[in-house]
Amino acid sequence: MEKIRSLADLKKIRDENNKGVELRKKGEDADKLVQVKVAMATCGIASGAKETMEFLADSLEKRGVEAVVTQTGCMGYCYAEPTIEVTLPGRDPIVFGNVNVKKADEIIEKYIKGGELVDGIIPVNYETIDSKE
Amino acid sequence: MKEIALHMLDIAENSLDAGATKVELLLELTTGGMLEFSILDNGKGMDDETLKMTSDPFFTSRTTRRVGMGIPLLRQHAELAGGGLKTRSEKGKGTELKAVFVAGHPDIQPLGDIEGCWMMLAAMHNDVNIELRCSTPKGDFEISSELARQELEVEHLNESALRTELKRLIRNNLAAIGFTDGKIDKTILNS
Repeated sequence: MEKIRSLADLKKIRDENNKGVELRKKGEDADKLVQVKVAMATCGIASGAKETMEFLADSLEKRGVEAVVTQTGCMGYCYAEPTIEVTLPGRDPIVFGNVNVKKADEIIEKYIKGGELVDGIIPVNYETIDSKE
Repeated sequence: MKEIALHMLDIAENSLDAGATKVELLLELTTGGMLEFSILDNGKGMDDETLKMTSDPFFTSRTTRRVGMGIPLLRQHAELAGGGLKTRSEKGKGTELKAVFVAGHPDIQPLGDIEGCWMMLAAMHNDVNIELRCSTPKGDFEISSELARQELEVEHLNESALRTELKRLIRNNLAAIGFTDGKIDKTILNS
């Protein structure tokens, strides 16, 4: 039985990484950054939130947008999963529904980069069971 | 839920919500042809009554909705593939969940993107140790997020280039033990 030594492999990755990429410290002045929260409860995961999250994290970094992508629980909009909440600096948070990779791309290009609203916004007056009670 | 890996991601969130500082994800293909998937955590645990309720889809600790389908869905998929689900928990100590599948069953879900799910958990939770251990009759492989952070001398693993490399490393190692492209290699099942 061959035991794979992940440790040695990891060291190799570290050395390769240290050549070019300088790891940034995020979250120090979070209110100046774009904040994206992806709902990652059972409903979100079953609808493809993992792909959406991976796409957002990779694309925002590659396209040079200073953003913090985090995960959150179910926001109560299970019918519209995957849902994401985007907060631009100094603006109110906006929740978008049915965010597949294509929609996420549109949100980055139009809303996050340009401040232009796109279809798929879940209005703030929508009531979850929690707020009704 | 289309993949076992997605269940892994989903159930692990429960452990993290329970305040676990260590979450072990185990995926074992036994010589008897069973696929055993377990999650062990050192979170706050549950009393017997709560533990029984976890298989009830109309029970949840959330307030945003009235259903909780994570564990019921996993139980369903395990039973569909000729297996089942067991849970054990001790208040204040932690929780253990084990789902068993008949590996060659026609209705078993594919393993899916195991490396992606580990990576997401590891990248998002800097203060938790996420361990992944996979074993088959062909060999075993393990990786832990705490060790990865130490060895790579980084505070977090949430950097695109690093994530890509780590995922590739895990994917290659999984393929070497017969978990190839998100599936169980047919050749180890028949041997």
